[in-house]
Amino acid sequence: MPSHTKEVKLRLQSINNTRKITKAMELVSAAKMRKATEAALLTRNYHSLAWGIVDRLINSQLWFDSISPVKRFFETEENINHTSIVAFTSNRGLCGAFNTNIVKTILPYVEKHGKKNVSIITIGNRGTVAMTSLGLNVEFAHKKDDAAKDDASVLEIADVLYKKFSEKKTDKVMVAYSDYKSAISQEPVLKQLFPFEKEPQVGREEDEASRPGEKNMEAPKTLEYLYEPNKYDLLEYLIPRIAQVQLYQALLESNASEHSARMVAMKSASDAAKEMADDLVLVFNKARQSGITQEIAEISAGRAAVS
Amino acid sequence: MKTLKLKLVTPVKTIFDEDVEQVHLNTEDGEITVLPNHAPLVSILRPGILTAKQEGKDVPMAVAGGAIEMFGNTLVILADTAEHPDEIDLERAEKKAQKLAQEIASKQTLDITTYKTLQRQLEREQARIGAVKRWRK
Repeated sequence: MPSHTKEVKLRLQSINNTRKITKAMELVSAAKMRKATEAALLTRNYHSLAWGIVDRLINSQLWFDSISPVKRFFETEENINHTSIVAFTSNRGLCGAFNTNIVKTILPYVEKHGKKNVSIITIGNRGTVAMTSLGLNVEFAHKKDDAAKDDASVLEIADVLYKKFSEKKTDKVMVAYSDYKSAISQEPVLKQLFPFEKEPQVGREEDEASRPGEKNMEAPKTLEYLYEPNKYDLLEYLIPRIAQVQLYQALLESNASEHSARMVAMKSASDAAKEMADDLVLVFNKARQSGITQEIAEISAGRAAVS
Repeated sequence: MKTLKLKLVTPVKTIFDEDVEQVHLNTEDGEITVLPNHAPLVSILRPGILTAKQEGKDVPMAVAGGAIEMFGNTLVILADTAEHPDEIDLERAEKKAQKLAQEIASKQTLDITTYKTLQRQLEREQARIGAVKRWRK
């Protein structure tokens, strides 16, 4: 059966080629992951110190004139008519359930509030495609900055969100991204950015002790800060910055998660290819052997017929 | 000697986290010096030179804009960038500043975001140049 062995051989070859590719992608992702994780961990300090300031501001004696645009950021809106969600997904596929998980965390919220009332800002091509096809209201679509060296790519988005919220075009701003826990575990999260809440927000964990980063001091209720130049100018400067920090941290966590998700996906693909190749080698050997046996049988039968 | 804790962090890393005797920096309202046990304060950091005094010696840093907070004898400075004068490449900073200044001057119209970004970059380069000229021998 020479034709059968040839088929098996071709198939074996193609599996081995695929395996080489997935193996290479695994190694590339591993290297990228190391970089992305490092960046995410280094920023956590900055990020938690920034939140510490916001926390203490909320706790301190803070009051605003009713016309002040920054007042909104510190009040919980009762009637939420419109929500904006920033969703961090990947630009490319082949990373397991990474993107699906993000979409899945957003969907229940969208269903609860109605598609019309939730607009989504996607970062990453995959998310844009997935959410448009689900008929969600995608307002802006951005590409994700895969090798983020600084926060340049999220500055504009932070500004847009700040403006939208202060102009009352939206009542709540949430961020959906993958929180990097370890190389094999990433948790998709949906957290509130505006208005500021005392509950855990973007990037903050209940179990902060388990994460590296700064410990923050609680402020006493009676604390009164000095504000320079003044409260309003300061907060108008500070709030968009806080949003930038949040989005930047979410971007880095997403990057780290994406690369590790891809690494794991590629590793299991390589493993599966190896298993398949091993099985096929057996099939190939059997086919070859049965071909030889048959040929010998034919030859000796032919000889028996002649003599 | 009384000291206060200075935490100077940038999005990229923690630059400084040590006890110092005083910190001199630029805020939106002008230059201030923060001494130990300063009252709780929140303010905006301007690009410029930040000087911390540690064991009688001045430690200079070129910083870009950001926010500062004094609370519980800890001064937290969230800066976009911060560099020691020894780390700065003067020639490169000067070239960059010149290029940025030209870019701002040459454009007839500029949208506000680009303008802000360029202006911010220019101020940062100027702070770096200033830090080098003042501190490097």
